Amino acid sequence: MRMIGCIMSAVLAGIALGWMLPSVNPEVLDQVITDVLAVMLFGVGISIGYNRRELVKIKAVGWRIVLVPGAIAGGSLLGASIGSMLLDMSLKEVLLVGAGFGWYSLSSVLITQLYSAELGAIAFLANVFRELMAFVLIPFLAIHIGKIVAIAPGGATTMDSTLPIIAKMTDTPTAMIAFVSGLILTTMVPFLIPLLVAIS
Amino acid sequence: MEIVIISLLAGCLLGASNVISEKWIGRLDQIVMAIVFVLLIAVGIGIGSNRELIGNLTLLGYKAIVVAGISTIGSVLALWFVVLKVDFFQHHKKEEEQL
Repeated sequence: MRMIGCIMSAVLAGIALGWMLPSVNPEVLDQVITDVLAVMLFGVGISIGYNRRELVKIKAVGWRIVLVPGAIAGGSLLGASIGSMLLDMSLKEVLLVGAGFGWYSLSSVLITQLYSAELGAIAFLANVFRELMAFVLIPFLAIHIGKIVAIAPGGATTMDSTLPIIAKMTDTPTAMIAFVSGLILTTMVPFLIPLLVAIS
Repeated sequence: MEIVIISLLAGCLLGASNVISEKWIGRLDQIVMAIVFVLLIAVGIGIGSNRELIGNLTLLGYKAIVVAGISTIGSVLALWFVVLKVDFFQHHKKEEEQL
């Protein structure tokens, strides 16, 4: 919860700064964001590449493990697509927001860069909400529905921020599946969002 | 935007090689976290400097809650369906017995 507070504070500080600054050149800001993003993803890439060894360790669980991130990705996009019927948003827009899988920092920046600042803001808020919901839903699902199902709400965050709570509420094999699922979903986001922008 | 994908893949290759020690991976997480905060402030500046966006923040928040809610429910239902069809732990136990 402390993390969520820090995240919201950072964004609010940015909003206040943007509001107070006499004029922000959007092109300069875009360039800075893209450069910083590239550095961040280089770091995330190192982490993913390094954790490849973890993937080898849990080979025993078998190929079925990919069904977990597969179902989470498919379910998230299918669920989000219903949003285009309920809201004044196109199918492409709701899919882009849903394709963040809870990774608010990357999805909001990518969508701002590739689509629009407005949808980027929606993506940021939606993915922060998703993470918040995950913190509440994981314990509930783990107790009432099943351990594996408890991995779903976390989306891409189950390899980092929501992993501790999954580990606490379930068991080690489930936490390992959650980690791999989060890793796969995290790897998918930077490919899926540009793909959705390009194709639909 | 290609630079973003290229740096991710370059990072993956570097991480998969044996160059990076475990000690550095721990520090890396902190560095990435610090960069995330810089990005969040930058995203905030983008929102704050756009008066039209600020005026619409309540509507955007409403849209965000709806999309977040239904995509989360969608993922839970889809995974629940898969879990009913595939027994992950049974499979895991069998593998453990074999090992």
